[in-house]
Amino acid sequence: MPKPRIAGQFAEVPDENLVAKFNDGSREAFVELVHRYQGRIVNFIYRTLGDFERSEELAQESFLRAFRKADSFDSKYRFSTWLYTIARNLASNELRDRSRRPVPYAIEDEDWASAGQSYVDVKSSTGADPAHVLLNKEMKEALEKALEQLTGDHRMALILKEYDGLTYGEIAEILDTSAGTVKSWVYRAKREIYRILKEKGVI
Amino acid sequence: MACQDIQEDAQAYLDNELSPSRRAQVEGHLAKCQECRRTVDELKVVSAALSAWSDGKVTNSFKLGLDVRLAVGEEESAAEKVDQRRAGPNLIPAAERKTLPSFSHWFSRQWKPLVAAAMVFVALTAVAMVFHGGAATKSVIRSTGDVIGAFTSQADGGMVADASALANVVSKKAIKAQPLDFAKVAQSDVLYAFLVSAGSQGQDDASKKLINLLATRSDSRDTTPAASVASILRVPEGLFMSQACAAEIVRDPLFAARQYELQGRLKEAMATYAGVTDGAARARAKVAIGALRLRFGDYAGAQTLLEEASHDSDRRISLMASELLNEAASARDAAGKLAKERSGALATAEQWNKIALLEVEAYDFKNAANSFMKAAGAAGGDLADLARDARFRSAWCDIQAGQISTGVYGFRSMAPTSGKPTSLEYAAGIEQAVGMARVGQFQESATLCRQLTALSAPSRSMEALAYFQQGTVELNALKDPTRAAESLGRVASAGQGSLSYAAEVLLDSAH
Repeated sequence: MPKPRIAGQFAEVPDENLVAKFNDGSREAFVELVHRYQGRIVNFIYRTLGDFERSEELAQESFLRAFRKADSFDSKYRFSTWLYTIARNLASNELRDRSRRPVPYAIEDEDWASAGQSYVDVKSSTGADPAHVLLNKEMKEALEKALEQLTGDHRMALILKEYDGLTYGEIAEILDTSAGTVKSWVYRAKREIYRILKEKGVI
Repeated sequence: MACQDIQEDAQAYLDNELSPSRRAQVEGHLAKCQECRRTVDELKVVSAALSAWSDGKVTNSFKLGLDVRLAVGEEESAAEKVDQRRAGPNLIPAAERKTLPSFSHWFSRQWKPLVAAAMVFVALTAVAMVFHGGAATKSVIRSTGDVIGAFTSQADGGMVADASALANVVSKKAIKAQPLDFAKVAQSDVLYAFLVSAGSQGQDDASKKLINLLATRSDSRDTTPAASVASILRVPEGLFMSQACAAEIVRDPLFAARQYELQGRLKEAMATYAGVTDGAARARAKVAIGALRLRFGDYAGAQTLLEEASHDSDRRISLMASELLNEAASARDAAGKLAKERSGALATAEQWNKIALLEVEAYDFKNAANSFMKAAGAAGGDLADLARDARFRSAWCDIQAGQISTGVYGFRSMAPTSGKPTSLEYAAGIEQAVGMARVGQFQESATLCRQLTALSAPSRSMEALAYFQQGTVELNALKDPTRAAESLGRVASAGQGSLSYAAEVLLDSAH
């Protein structure tokens, strides 16, 4: 069982060095990696699947696989990309299974920001000022609907860009495609979401 | 430049992913093209909408579950390396493995929770064997042995109690289910009885054979019992996790207290817990007393102890205590609100039922038993189903609150009266038999099971449960291997998943 984490012990150590330390026998190094990425991985899967409980399970599985396969990690790659790739594979498998037994996509209420907090100062020529993006039930439902309609790849590309702030190149590695394709997926995903939000009358 | 080209790059522009020259081109175009500016603005609107969805917070259950799963992974890796050096990659002959059903297929059947709890038990029992000189066993039980790593490398007898606590948690979940899941309650409680009985009888032979059987049914790394148990550990209920983690204890000084608890002798359990002085065990005992106080409806007393324990330096203890307290507190608040809403007016059956379910959630079984009875009493003819379920739940809560005789009596009032009982009636009969065995009424328990199996059972699985309960009592308590062989033989031939396997193994030991 892991010992309590010593705060700051590895604070400045790059991910890839932590993997090397872990492979040399430092369990604490892996605990630090978990600490760094647990929130990101859980939320990446959650936003992909729309199911928080399941996302925690798959995030655990992602870390477990990384734990088991750490000795095969190639340090010329980034650890984050490698870990996201594991998570992406698990999420994709889950989506594939779900295509056979559909599960509703749902954003949990408590994860929904309270009204007004996400104001973005954009003066829009469309009149759709983001300040008027209504953070209400209708918006939440419309967004759920919109995300549900995206393909798995489009949804993941969008999430990795929008929430995780990865570059197109990093996303391309994770989704096993080209940066150009990622650019196109993110663009199309956002256009599609816009279309649905407009159609639902929430923007 | 064509607008189409620009629009394709509009998102990349916002994401700052364009080369400087391309960026300049796009900016130049945007300055004079309203249509493309509109596109950019629309993309910004979508970003604003998406940003309203904040990050979900990683739960304590996630952290605990990950700890346990990593511990499993660590043990597996270590065991695998040793095994590969010593004995090659696989100890089970390939031909034999091919003839057996895959573990995952077997596991995915309706018995999943029971199987998992049984395997926890098996694993924990195995610990004692492995670490008490069973070198020959270790090579055979390789895959099952891995499970052990999840919990401990130095465990002792107390593990059975923790394994049964798992079965109890499954049962509690089934009692809260809407609609009430009679069959699952009966399954869990029969398993619970089996674990207590086998544990107290020191069924090493039976356990060993069961372990070997499980090992031969594990035909790949991903479908080992270890992986399956770990998959159960992912169930994101705080207490479930805590109970699993509690199984990690070394030479458990809490064992005697746990035994009392299992027998419904809650006050003796509490006194024994209170007498524990050993450092780490003291903190666990504090949590256990807190949990018992909740059962007695003494929330304030529980709160003090659990709050203390929640500051314990052992992260597991502190998490266990805070999980318990949070779960109890939130359910209690909800129950309180509900009670306030109905102040002044007489509560309806549905309201009492809701309050009772929240009390179950809060581990306040004593009050829950009363509230369910009030729900049953307030239910009119059009709410017959609610009344029936409430009576079943009330009897179950009585047993949890240590009032076993009252609970058994409650189940008796629902027991089958005709030759064709309903599922509820049959399940109530099984519950009654289990309750009797818990307070040492073994003969009565076996007789009742015989009466049940003489009836036309609502399903084969329910019938198998009755035979299993009967067989384990006959074998372990009544020391009647002939009768036990007959009862367990019927379970084994019924092909009811894990229960059949367990019956086969017990059958061998009966011979």
